[in-house]
Amino acid sequence: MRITDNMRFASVQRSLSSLRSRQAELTDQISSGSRIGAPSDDPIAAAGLARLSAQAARTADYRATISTVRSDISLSEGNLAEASSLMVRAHELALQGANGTLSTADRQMLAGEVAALQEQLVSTANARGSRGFLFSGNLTDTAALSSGGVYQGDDQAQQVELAPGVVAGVTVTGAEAFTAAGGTDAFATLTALRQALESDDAAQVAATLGSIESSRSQIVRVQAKAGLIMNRLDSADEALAVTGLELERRRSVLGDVDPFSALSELSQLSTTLEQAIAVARNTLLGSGNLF
Amino acid sequence: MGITDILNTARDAMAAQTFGLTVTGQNVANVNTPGYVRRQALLETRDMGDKAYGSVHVAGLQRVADRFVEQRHLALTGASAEASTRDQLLAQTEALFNDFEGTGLSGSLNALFSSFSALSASPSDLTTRSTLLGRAQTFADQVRSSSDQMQNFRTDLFSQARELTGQINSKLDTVAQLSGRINQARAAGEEPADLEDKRDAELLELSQMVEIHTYTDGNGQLVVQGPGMTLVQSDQARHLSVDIDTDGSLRVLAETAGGNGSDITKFLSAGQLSGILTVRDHDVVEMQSELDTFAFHVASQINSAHAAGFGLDGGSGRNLFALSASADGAAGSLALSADVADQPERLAASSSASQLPGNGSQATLLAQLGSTPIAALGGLDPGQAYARLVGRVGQRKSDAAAQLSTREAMTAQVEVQRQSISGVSLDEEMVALSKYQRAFEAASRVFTTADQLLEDLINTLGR
Repeated sequence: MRITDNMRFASVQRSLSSLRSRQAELTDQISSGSRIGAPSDDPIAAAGLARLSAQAARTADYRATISTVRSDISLSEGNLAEASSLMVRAHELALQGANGTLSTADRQMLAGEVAALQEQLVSTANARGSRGFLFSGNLTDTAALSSGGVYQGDDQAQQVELAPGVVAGVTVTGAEAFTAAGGTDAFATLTALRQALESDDAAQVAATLGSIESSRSQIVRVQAKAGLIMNRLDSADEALAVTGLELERRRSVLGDVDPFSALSELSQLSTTLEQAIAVARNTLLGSGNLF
Repeated sequence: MGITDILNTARDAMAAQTFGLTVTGQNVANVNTPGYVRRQALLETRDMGDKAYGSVHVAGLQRVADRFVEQRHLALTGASAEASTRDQLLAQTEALFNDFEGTGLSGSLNALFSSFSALSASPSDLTTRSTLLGRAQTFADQVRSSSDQMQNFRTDLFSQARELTGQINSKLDTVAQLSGRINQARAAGEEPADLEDKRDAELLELSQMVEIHTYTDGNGQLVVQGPGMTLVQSDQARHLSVDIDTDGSLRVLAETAGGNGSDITKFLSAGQLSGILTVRDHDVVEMQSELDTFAFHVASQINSAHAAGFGLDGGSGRNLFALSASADGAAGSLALSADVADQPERLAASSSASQLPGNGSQATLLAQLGSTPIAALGGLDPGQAYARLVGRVGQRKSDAAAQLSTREAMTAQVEVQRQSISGVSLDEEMVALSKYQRAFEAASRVFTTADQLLEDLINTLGR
């Protein structure tokens, strides 16, 4: 084949420029740490990255939801603990009041304390969380108990999605904790106790002991349920954290540069480039030297 | 035969070798001139009537070029230019969908579903609701702006095509003028090698813009064949123009005698003009329609789930997005529905009118749409569907890049072939230089010898 001068120059230029461009590409990747600067660098990986980022966003959403509802259910649990200790106190008062040796005045005093307990129960049941009244079910803008102890909420727990496809109730309602719907009406029980004390009827006072106890255990049951919900939220959150890490790992595998292979390729490239330059120097020796 | 004949022969020889030296000089001078085709001095024996010996005669100059390699070079240059144009233009559209930083469409899609999720946890919170409205607005804005940018891009490409046809027309005129001058030179018996070089260079530039084939007709005239139409014949050029067809696609017209122009769009297959046309009316149109389909189905799923829920005011049946009736053009018109715009309390988080405001089940359903397969999107959820869209845009660009590198390699190969045939080799020219120099020296020796003979003759016989 006839080799002309421009062919020699062009071939030197082509080989050097392709080496230089690969070198620039590698340097870019290493300095940015990312293998993919634009979708066309690796369309399949780019689509994979977009999918992973959507999944990661969903995972973060679930965790955000969990942290939002977690504070409310923890508040509920605390308030139920308080309500159950109110019932414990009521039980003590009922025991005292059932004692036949107690004077009428003493019973009136006890009745006064029960009335105070009732007020506390109403204010505990009407505690507010981040989304409104804690114990009103879905009617979060309505107080759970009226001052007369009538339940005004509904019996629906708030449903949220904790993980893909897992929709669970994450609140407890006043209906199950404080009303006859859950077994015993706490406020009405206290009213019965107060009235028995006011009418100075020791036997009647003793008769309320059973329902006070069942009301307390009902509240404790719901408190335990709140505890279980918290556990469930925590374990769901942990699982999501693991998922998040796994997604991050996959994203890194897909989109990040492997620094070792990239660096070794780069140093290999530098060697090749030096050789190519040496060859080029030879190639470019002019014909003028021959004559 | 006489001694004077030897003198004549020596004269011719010296003239011929001098011509050879001149041609070598020209080749050396033009070693780096683009488009220069090396020349060869054509020498032949001059016959001297009925005598058995002769002299040398300069028959002219030859441009050393292979017509078929030249043809192939033109064709491949056009194909490369088309691929290069497409590659560059697609890099611009790719930038529209390159949102690895989380600020693009995929970020706002994720943010929208995150807001539904947040609403399901705090259905009565007005701040959460306002945030959701803001994000729905951002999503709609970004979809619309992506669609608008593609539309603007198509408008830009039309202007580019118009400018390019202007350049093509001026090149066609130049080629026609050069052909005319070459004809005149030939008629005057001159050797128009330089003009042919110039015309070849112009044709090469022309082939980058639009597909051309050239041949020489029966009268020795160069004919430049364009897509579906002869563009230059002898010194006559036919101009191209572009306009917009009724369906919005670009149309390339060739000038006709009648004046209306003949549509040659479907014949375009190489050159920048074809690259622009492919990107404008094929690639971008398909991307737009994919974005339309994506936006339409995602928004209509969200709308129907939203319409089934209840706002804080107890109202139901409201859409979140104002959406066109069909996927056609959906992305370009996506907006927040007037039912809910600026009225965050109307967002339908509740699945029941009687469980307000704490019920967030409908918002849960809306959030779940983010990972629910949509049959009309090939059974992919919105995130996956968008990922596929991004993947396809990337695939398109990377296909174009692969095509470009194949065509460039082929062009480089034929350029090597062309250089090998027509390029100047300084080695050769150095050898030729010595060759002509020695021959000239020898010829002058013949001249001195003949002169000596004559002198001897005159001195001996003339006494």
